[in-house]
Amino acid sequence: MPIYTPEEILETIRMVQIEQLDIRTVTMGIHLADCADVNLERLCRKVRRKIKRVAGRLVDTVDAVQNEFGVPIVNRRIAVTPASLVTAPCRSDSVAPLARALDEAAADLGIDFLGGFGALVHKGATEADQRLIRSLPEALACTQRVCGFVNLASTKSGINMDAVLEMGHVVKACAQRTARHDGRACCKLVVFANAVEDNPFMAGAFHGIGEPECTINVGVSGPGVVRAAMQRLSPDADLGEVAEAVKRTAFKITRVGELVGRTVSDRIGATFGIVDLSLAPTPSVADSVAEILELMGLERCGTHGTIAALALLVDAVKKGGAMASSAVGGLSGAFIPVSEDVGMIQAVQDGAMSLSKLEAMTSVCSVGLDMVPLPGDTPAETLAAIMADEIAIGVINNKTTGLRLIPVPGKKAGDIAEFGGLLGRAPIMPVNRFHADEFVARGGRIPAPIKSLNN
Amino acid sequence: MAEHVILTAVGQNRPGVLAEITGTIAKLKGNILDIGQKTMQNYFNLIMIIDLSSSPADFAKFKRQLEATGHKHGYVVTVQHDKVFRYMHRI
Repeated sequence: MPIYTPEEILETIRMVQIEQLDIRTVTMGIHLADCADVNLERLCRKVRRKIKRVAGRLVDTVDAVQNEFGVPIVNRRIAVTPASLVTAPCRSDSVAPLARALDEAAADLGIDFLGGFGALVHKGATEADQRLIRSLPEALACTQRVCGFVNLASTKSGINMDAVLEMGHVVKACAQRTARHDGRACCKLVVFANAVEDNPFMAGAFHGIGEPECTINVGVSGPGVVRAAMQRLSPDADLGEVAEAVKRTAFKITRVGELVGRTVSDRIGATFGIVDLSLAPTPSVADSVAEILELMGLERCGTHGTIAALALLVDAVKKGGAMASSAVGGLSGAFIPVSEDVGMIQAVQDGAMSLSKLEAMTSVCSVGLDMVPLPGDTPAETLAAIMADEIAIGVINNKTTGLRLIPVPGKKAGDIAEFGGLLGRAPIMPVNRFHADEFVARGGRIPAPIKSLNN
Repeated sequence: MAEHVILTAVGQNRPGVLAEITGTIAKLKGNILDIGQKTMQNYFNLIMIIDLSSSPADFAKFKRQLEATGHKHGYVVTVQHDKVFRYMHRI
């Protein structure tokens, strides 16, 4: 019988009850391409039936596991095969009805977000892809739970600048359609470079085509736990000791994710996919990634030294997590969403954090420009240029980058956007007033960088 | 591997607390393998490792009843499967 010291037992209890250790999401990935049909209505029926059959026990199983292990599992979510592939044979003009069917399927099961209503167009868009993209504003505005994504670039193929410009317009349209809620539909849309097929986090989650029938992917969360570990360090601890403290904590957090993932997938009969190591903040106090960076010794997140601190944090998380799990994947880094992190919101309001600094930070951390509210009058071309920048960082550095930009209708820099619930609230950041219209209008493909020739 | 459960309880110390908890465990035929207790400034902190393999009650029932015992008498009882601790603290 394994013997645990009282200290170990109390440490686990403390992490859960006081430091806000939780499993952020258990996401079931479901293959839907076998539902494809020339008739959209029939396709929708097949999709609803399949999701109900495959995911019917997801919520109950996760609830039971939460109960047994005593670790809160905050979200139960679903990711599906990119909708442009599922709807390819359809003859309809719009595929927004599929989004509604997915929304209803999710509601029936008690799932709060369902991702995958998207397309991969990094080399070019098919007709089905184009139709999906055109359907996005309606699909995202008229549904509560459905999330969309478009992969616009990859290190191997380069950047599809025609699609980038189109997505600038799509984001504007999504914002306009949900103007009464500060552009809320944009909170459910991510554009990517090098999107991964097994990311469990919304809004960019989808079930990639290399995946099996059904997977369980887990996203853990532990900014609060890491923060507490930082607070216990002596003020004289050098940065090597800081990294070590983060690494050990990340190990423990990830172990819980591994246990939950294996247990849920065993009981449901799905394949255990991955544990995503990302430190994902919530709007709760003491659950902020920005505050961890500040505890390292920065007066305010966003000042000089922030990138170095973030690089240390993300690397230590990966090292600790890699040892803890047999299958690490997804995005696995740090999230720096503006609206979901109390410390980030404060940093923007204090003038310490700017869009340019956020961009620079994304060169060392996983996610990108996430939940960034912008002035409502930002032109589509400027949005496209912001996307092109972030995507270029991903393509050249052979990493995933993504953007969730929200041009908030009727509001300007300094105003507060309110998205409600988990999506939080955030101050609107200014954009550069000089244009890049002619650059993005050129279109075409920015070729893949030479480093992609690595055979 | 047997079904092991870790019970922790925290609350204000007074005579009878341990008896209440162990009484409920005995009724449910749980086998207590180890007990540790610390009392600090009138608060007790109790840890027990319990084997449920001879208990007719399933984990959920055991957890409900022990947590209810705590609730009834004014302290907090937490019951978790030992796997969480095994995964976190052992490679």
